Amino acid sequence: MPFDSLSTSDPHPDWHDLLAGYALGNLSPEEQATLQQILTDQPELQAEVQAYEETLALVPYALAPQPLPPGLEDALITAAQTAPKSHSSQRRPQTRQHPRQRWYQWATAAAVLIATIVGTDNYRLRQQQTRLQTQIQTTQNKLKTSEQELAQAQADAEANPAENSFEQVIDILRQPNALVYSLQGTGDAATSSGSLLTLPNHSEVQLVSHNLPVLPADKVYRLWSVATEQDSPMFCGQFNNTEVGNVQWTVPDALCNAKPVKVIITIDAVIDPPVPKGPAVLTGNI
Amino acid sequence: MVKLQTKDETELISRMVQGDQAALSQLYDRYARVMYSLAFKMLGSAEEAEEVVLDVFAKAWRTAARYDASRSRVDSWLFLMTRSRSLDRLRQRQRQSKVVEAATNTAQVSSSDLPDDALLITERRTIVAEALAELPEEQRIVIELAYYKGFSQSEIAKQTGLALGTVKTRIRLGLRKLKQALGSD
Repeated sequence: MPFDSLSTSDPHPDWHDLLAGYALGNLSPEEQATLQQILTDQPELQAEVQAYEETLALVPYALAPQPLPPGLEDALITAAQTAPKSHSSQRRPQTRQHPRQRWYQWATAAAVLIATIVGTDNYRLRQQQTRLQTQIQTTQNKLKTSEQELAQAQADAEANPAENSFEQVIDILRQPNALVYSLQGTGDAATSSGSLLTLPNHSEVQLVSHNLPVLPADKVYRLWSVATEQDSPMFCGQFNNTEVGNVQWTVPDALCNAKPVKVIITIDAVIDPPVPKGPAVLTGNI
Repeated sequence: MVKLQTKDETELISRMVQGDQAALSQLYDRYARVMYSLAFKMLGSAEEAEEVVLDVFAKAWRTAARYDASRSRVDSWLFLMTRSRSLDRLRQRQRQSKVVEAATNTAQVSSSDLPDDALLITERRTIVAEALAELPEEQRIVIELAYYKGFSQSEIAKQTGLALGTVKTRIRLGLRKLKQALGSD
């Protein structure tokens, strides 16, 4: 029956509206019941319904194509590999089933459902995992870069200690309030000399020496500061010299850098108590 | 509708019945983009659209043996499942939020898309887009509200302010023209 044909045998005044609405799936329950009755009475109208469903099914072709998300096809294939398939195209005759068969069918259906859910969840988890792995990789790359830069800086410092110390000396000398003590050798170290550099309210001192020998492991150089002519020398740390003659250390007391009138460097045993005992090798005045 | 038919698709389904995953991949390559675009259009969510496409292909794989070529084309079968699942999700949202979306954001169908990689899909897109473009706008809008939003005729009447009879008439006339344009008559 042509869609818009009018005849005295029309099954319902609005049957064509009902067909169109049915194809779109937007009939009310009452309208669906009416159409169902019409289709029962005139089964040839099923072809009209099918034609409209086919027409509407083509509508998505006109949509602007969206790019497919990556990984979707892989997720589908993975799900297909785990999901069981139905191989029967024929509807089975309605026979009384053994309870165990019904149980088996329900179990199979549940397995299919679980496989689908698990497949979907796995896909989403893989997406999250991929995002997290990317973040971790980025962080690791940054960390690796920082580590490489630090290692390079350390290597440079080790390879060029003199240059490194030299820069520190220059930094101190650039300060307007830098304290510089010229040191002269005394006693057995008469040929030694050097400069002691520090800053007020600064905990580090820098020694630049000449002909000051590197001591054996059981000996140390100790720095003593004399705040005024009446004060006793104050222990200001110990060190061993380096081959290049530059060494830096941290003083134990801020008073060490409180512009003492005199500084003394002695040689002591490592095990000696921190009292002025060993022979002086370098002395300097402000 | 003959001009949109292909013969090899039923063969793909037969191969899927036999467990040929390459056939599934071939079907995916051909239709996944349209299905995803449909689900995305209806749901507005990339994540949900992905799930719908995955779900539909998983079902097609499991139930390929039940596909009846005499009842529907392969693409219609896939698109129908895609729309049904998307509508289910839309209605689930409405139940959860108790809010019906405003109908003013009517679906826009573009006929000026970039060509798809597949010549077949491009050809079909051109045909359908032209057919939709031939519809009067008032007919196209009510069809799209029903198709993409899943609105009932009463809901469309309420959202658009049209009389229910007018909605029904526009849907009927629009579908008739669309069917004629796509060669279903």
